[in-house]
Amino acid sequence: MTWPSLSYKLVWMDSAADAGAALDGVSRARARTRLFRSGHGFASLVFGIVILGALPFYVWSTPAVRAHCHSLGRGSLSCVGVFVSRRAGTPAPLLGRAFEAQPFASLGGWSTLYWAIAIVVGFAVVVAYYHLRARRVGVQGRLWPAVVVGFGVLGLAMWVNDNSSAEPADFWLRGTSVLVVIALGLLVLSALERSRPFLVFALGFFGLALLSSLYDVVNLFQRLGIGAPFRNGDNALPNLILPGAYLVIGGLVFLFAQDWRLDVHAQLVRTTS
Amino acid sequence: MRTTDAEVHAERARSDPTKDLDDVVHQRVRLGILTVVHEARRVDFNYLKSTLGLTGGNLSQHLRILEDARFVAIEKVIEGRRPRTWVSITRSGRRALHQEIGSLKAIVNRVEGPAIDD
Repeated sequence: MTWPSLSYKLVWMDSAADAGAALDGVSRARARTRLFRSGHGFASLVFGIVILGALPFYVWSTPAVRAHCHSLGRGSLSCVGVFVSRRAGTPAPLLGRAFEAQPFASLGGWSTLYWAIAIVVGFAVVVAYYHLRARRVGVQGRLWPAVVVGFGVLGLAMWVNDNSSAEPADFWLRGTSVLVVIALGLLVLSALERSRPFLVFALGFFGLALLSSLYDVVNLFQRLGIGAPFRNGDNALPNLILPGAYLVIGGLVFLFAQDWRLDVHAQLVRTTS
Repeated sequence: MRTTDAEVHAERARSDPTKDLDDVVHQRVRLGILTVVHEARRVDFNYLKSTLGLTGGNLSQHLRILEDARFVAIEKVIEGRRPRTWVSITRSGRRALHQEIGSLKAIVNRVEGPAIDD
């Protein structure tokens, strides 16, 4: 090292120490505020419960088989069996066919009504939680972009499903594509809260939402040896149980972790003051 | 052509990052206030007081300076019969904070970076 560069560094040393301390302070204040502001654990828990709440609408009824027979003469009959969906009498799909449980689900037609109410109530509960929490702790986060994206994607999915002739039928087939709407809302929330762990978690849920929309998860359960309870009419349930349980368990873990970190923080404040 | 040390020093003096430090933002408490309010849509006065370890009067003084510089907006409301003061960052406040942090990082990098003639 030559003298000019050393002297140059000495000139800067004081301001650099000052700048380093200032940056440390910035990091601490930022971390504390993010900890107080975040509510993604609660949002995960709410939407996990919303998903698990849809289970009754995805239980298949045993389809009635109505036989149409006519005599062929000389004592023989020709019969055609017709599967009769139990959907008759249930309301028209409110959110388009994308969110309707499979045709033989006994309450299939009601599933769209459930999602219409549950998604709105879910977002309302999360918004109310953020509002009450902000009043209690004194830090109000940004939430509206996640709500706007959630409802925007919901509307777009309905429109595409109802108007597109080239719809990706396989994607709508299982009536669980509403999970993708929730996943996108959670991804926006992770960006708003600038939480890397929650971003990873939300990406995992996005993957599960796609899996549940494109694949019969019961096959996966059977391969893992836990498929036994899901026979006959319960075949579709793992498509909701897997993503629903993921959100509920993940949400609880995030909530407990937040509580623990707040406790640690409070202890630190007590010991330093 | 080889650049001499004198030329390097002249260039560094020209691009002196301390010149980018804004006195309104650079002060320790005000930098803390802007950092905290930048992380949320709005922040309560009492939260700022406890987070930054300040007295109410001291915090009010710094908030007034930031408000005069239009770096924060202050909203006084009544919630449940109690007055409450919410503080939020403005667009120019956000810009000033980013510039300040950029300058601070530049200063640290100057010292931690490689020497001229190593």
